[in-house]
Amino acid sequence: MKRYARWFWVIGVTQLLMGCATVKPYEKENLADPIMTISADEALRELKWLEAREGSTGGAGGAGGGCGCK
Amino acid sequence: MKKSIAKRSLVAAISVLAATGVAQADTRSDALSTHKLTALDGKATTLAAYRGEIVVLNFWASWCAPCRRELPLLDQWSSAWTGRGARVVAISIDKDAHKAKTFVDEMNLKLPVLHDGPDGLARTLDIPSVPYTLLLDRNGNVVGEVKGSTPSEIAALERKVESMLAARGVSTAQQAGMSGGSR
Repeated sequence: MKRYARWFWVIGVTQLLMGCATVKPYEKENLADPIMTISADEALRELKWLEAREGSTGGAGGAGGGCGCK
Repeated sequence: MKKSIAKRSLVAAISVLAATGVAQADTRSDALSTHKLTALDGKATTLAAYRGEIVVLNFWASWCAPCRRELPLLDQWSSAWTGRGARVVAISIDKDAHKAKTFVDEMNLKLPVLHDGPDGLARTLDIPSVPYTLLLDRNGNVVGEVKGSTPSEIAALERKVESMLAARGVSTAQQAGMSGGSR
């Protein structure tokens, strides 16, 4: 059982590390989107989540075809 | 015996490091001169077009706040150096060239702006920051760099270009004097 527990930890930690990625400075265009800032308008942020979840981009007005690919 | 082996290993290691450095510098200069870039009006060009001039090459993006502060200053430099043998060339790494064009229009920038996207020269050179500024001599060799937009480093870059221009002026005057004396 102990042996399995060790493997469980090794696999778990490996999986966690695999989720880490270094983003190069020239790849940060999406991260630099104003919506990503902490001070971004909460209502806008919620709208973005909602639109992504519901696939309803543009449903609340503005541009977009409802494909969720804003 | 042991000392001799250690000495040889050290010499070999230094040689390899030096060779790697030279190769890297050459690769960088080669990539810079041959990589195809697009002007904002859609025309293709390369940096080889600026050979014979000192070039301050600035990598920027419309989403980068320090770039927004820095570019007007670089634009002033570019205007001041016009006709003196130096220029600033700005390369946008925006994914969308339209964003770069909108930004340039908004800021009323006059310096040459080229578009390359994030997967062009920026990736080839693996630029360590945005903005990132390189100083190229008249032969297209990299002779200086500024990572980010620290005011003191930017000022030092301007001084370096001015000194290169002044050195050129002195050597030109000397050549003229020499050729005048030999007549």
